[in-house]
Amino acid sequence: MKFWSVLFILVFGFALTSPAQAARKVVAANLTDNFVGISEGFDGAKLTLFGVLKNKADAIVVIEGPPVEAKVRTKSRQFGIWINGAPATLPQVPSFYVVASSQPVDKIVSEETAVQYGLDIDKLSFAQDTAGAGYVDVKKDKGLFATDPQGVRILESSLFRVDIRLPPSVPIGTFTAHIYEFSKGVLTAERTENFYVAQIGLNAWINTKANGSPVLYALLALALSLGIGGGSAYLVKRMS
Amino acid sequence: MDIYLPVAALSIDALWLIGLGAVVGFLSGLFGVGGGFLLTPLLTFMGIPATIAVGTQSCQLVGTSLSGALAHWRRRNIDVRMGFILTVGSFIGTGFGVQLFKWLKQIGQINLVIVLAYVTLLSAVGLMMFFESAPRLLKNSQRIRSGARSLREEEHKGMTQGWGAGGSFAVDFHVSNLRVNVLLPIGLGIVGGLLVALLGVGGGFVLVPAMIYILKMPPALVNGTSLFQIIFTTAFATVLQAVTNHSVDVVMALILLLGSVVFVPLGARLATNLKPEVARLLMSLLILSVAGKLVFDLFSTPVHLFTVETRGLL
Repeated sequence: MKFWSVLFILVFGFALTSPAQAARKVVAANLTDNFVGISEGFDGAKLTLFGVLKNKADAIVVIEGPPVEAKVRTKSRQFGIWINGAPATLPQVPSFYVVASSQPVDKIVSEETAVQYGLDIDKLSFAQDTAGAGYVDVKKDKGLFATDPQGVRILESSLFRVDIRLPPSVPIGTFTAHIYEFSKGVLTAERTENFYVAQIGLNAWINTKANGSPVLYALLALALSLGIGGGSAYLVKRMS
Repeated sequence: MDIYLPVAALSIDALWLIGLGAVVGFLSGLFGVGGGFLLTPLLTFMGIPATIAVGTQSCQLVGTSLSGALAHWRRRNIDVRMGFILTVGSFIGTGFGVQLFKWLKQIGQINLVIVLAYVTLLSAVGLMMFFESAPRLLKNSQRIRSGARSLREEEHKGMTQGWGAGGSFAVDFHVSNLRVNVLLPIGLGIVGGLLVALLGVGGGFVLVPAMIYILKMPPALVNGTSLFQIIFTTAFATVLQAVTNHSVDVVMALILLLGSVVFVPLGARLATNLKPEVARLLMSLLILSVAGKLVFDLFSTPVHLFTVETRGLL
């Protein structure tokens, strides 16, 4: 059993990696960091991606955050005030989506190609109905969905650099950076890099406790609150 | 100085939080009210989700009410028996309120309910304070003190007979020198518990007048007894909110608490120098402007016509 599965993987592995993949090359690129830790004083982070392009090619980089399920409610005016309506559920949408490019995307590829590779944030497959478009709208406002037509900077002839800015409200989980190289509107090479965002230190500890053992967490919070309240009452009495 | 709030999962300037805690602490020292009813709206104006503001406040209130209750304890201004009976009611109210909170959150109407409840409470309290303090400022009076004295004289004539004092549920409260149907304080406790669970306030500004006018407790014992009961109610609410709604951010609670405990004594000191009518008038204007802002937000077209709520998939 084990032998056969190993053999299967070997044979198919070769079949997949050899001729079919050879036609499309891999962009040489690397992230300066693969991990972003959210500590007590976190106010956003910056990651840098370096890479090499073929001559005169353009690069588009899509940074995508971990998938989430989203409930979108549309507000409507009732009795003069704005009230949430019934929710529409988007089963799986990216929590973060930034498209950075060396020039505006429509100058690099055709509209069709942009839609195919998800390079236009207003034309993502899930964003075609009211709820999807609303989701993108809210995310744009929070800086979690964005387009940056100058985001990929060509440094010298073929070397490029992307500064990925993550806002303080950045979601937690695995992010992917898809790097696409286009020559005359045709995809010539690509690559996918991953990085991780997680709470670290005291934050991570608090969050694990708050979600994993909420009773213990609440009792701990109560003890601290009582300690500060009681301590201050004692100090005020001593001072007066 | 930005600080990351781990449960709210957002970053905020810690100085703003300390400042807000300080303002609320100062006000509670000055007016003897908890000030929680200003904190929740102000936190939402700063971008904290209303659900997190409410859950976190209950945790912070445990510390502030303990600190206040200790001062009353030293002056023997607490009716412990009454406090525990109120607590029985408030636990029922809190338990029900937290489930209601969860349900309202699920159907996406929790923010609306919180805002509407605040608008109602703030307008009522604000208008009452305004119309009580403004005329008094115009004609300086001494009537308040003489009124209190006559009430105290009345107490010495024997036990006050409250509502249902002759019925089968009547209970004696020796410290308050009062006999009343036990269902009345339990009912008041339920209201208090609902306020804690849904709005993140101690509920003192509702309970205190109710205890004076409905329960007929001696005014001197009311503040201390209310605070004493609030310690247990908010502690219970903290546990339930943390378990049911995951809406208690301990980092935010402690920062607010630190800001507030430092400024309570300062407010209390200033209170002795400030004319009470002036203080109440200022407070009423502050409360009414917060209510006004909430009403304005309810009616004005929102930036987004959409509300998004996400849940991680991994």
